[in-house]
Amino acid sequence: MNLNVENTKAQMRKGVLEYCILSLLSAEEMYPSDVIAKLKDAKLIVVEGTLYPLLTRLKDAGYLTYRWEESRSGPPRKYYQLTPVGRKFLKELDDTWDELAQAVKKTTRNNPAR
Amino acid sequence: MKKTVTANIAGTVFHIEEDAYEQLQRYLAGIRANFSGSAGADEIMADIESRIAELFTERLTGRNVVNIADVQNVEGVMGRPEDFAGEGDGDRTTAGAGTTAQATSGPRRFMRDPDDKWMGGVLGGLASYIGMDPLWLRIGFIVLIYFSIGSLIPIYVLLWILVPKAETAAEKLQMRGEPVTVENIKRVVEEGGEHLKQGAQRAANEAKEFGRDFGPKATAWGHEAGRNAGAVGRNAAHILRKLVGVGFIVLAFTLLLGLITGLIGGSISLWHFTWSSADMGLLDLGGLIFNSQSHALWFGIGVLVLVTVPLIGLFLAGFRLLLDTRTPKWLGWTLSILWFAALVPTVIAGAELASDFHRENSVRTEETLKQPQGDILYLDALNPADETEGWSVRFDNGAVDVDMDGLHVENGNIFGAWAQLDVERSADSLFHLQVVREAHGGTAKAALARAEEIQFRVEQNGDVLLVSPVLSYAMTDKFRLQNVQFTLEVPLGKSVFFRPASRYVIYDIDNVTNEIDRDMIGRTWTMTPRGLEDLTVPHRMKQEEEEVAPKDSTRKGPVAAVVWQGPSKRRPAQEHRPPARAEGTTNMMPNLLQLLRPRI
Repeated sequence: MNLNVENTKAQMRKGVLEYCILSLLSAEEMYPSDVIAKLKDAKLIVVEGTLYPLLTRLKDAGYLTYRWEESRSGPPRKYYQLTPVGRKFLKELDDTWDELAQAVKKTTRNNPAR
Repeated sequence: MKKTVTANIAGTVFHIEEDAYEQLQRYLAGIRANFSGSAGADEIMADIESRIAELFTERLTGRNVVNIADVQNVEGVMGRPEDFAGEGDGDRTTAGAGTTAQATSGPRRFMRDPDDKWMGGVLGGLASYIGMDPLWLRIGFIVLIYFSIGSLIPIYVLLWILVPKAETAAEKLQMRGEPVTVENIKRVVEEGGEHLKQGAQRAANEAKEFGRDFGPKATAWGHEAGRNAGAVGRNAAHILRKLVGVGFIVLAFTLLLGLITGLIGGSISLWHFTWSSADMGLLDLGGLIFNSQSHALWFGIGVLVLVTVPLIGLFLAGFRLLLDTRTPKWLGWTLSILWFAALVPTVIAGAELASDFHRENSVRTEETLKQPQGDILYLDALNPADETEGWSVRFDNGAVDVDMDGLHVENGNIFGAWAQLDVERSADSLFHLQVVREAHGGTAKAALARAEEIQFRVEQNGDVLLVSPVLSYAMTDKFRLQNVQFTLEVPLGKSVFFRPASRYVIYDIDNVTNEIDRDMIGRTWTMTPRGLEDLTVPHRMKQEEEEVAPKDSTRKGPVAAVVWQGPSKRRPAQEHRPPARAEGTTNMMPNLLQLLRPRI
């Protein structure tokens, strides 16, 4: 039972993860560790590994682009930023999220049975 | 003290403790298994490795070596492979490259199994692919190799080269047809680690065992090899052993089988070697060759043991290499003693036989011939069926072909169609028939006595000379290469006609046109200064030549006419015949050219 709850929570977080990543990157150029730190703060993700496939996927879809930058400590880093297509996509997601949040709120909070 | 491994992670070099390295490798393999086959796999892995390098660098302040705690920390930060897997499930349609497209059970793939193999793992992989116990597959394959006379071996090698090896955990799962889930991958990876440990242990043991078998020097090497048993050396030695083992077994089995069937068939009847109606076995044949049947028996047994013992040894060696069985010591000793014991009668009987073949002698006689009425002597062969009762096939004018090789035994006599006839030029104006009989023996005298014992048959019926290809001698004389050579001497200008059956007697008769015996049959051959010549052929040739190159015949014709007066009055046209041999071919050329000219 407990496992199911955890799973459901994880699925919920995952659903919005892409949106959050795009949103974070729209504000400023970041490299994965920055993104992870922000997401961890917000308790959206627990482990870092999940982010890499997502970033690659978004990049392959044309929403993100990156550039290499030398690092003083360790290997060179990929700094990600949104492409114009990504910005358009994010705008759509913004609208969708607003609608969805409203709908969810309306459905769950106004449920007389609760 | 701990051993460290140097690893390059995303361009940075790290010293990693061995156990930490193993764990990291397993961890990365687990992650990779999730992405294998998807488009961005390499990039994702590069990103992850890059992050791991970063994490290590952060933690390695004041230290040089990555330990297991660091790896565990990385796993904690990055998450377990399961966490990676779950990510793609959310939205696979948004992006073209679904990262975990492989997470479900795909179709089974035929791959070589590195964990279950004797040689290349082809059959192990095939067994997984079709869901069979690999042992039965291997037994079946070895049997098939035998029946296909080894032609399956190249196919195996080809599969070895072509079929990919299941190296990653995901590939191994695909090979087994198990769904590529995170739990399964973890299991396979852990199993792999166990296999590695067991494999190294086993290799060390095997090397020691190998060393024990081959003396103290090899033992030292065995220990050394056991300690250093790397995957490469281990596999190569292993493969070679199995391969050589299979080769030994197949070879020994084939030869033994051939020997046994040959022996059984041979001792009952040598049907191909003789054309006798009464069956004759190896022992009977031995009795004809050796001075006594017991000599033959001892020689036969000796040779048999001398051949069989090494084959059994080969068989045992093959099994030892292939299946790691041990040959009991007493068996080796018994076989060795048996072999040396067999040497004695074989050498004695063989030497005695050889000495009886030592000298050769011959006796030359002449048969008186009635000279033919005309200029032509007709040569024919006597039907062997007239001489012995046992001939199963008769030949009549050469219409039926009989196997004339071999020997025939009847009424205490040995018969064989070994007599041969040659044709040469007579010194005078008469036909002669010279007969040379020859045989071998321990002394020249014994050989001569045997030669004189040889019976042959020649008959004359008007102008027909009948010579039998069959010669005979008493069984007590033994088989000592007895032979009869007839020489028919034909006087200059006279001819000999080879009747069809004569092909059983004539052998390698020289003639001007260099034709083989078979082609000489059914034609009249005239003795000319150049040798035997078929004068009817040049006659035909001449008419063609007159159309094409008449000069040729007029130039050559008189030369022949000066030397001798022509074969007979019956064929005056042949006095101007051209030499037969070369012109037949050379004059074809202008003929062909003329035919071509109008078209050019």
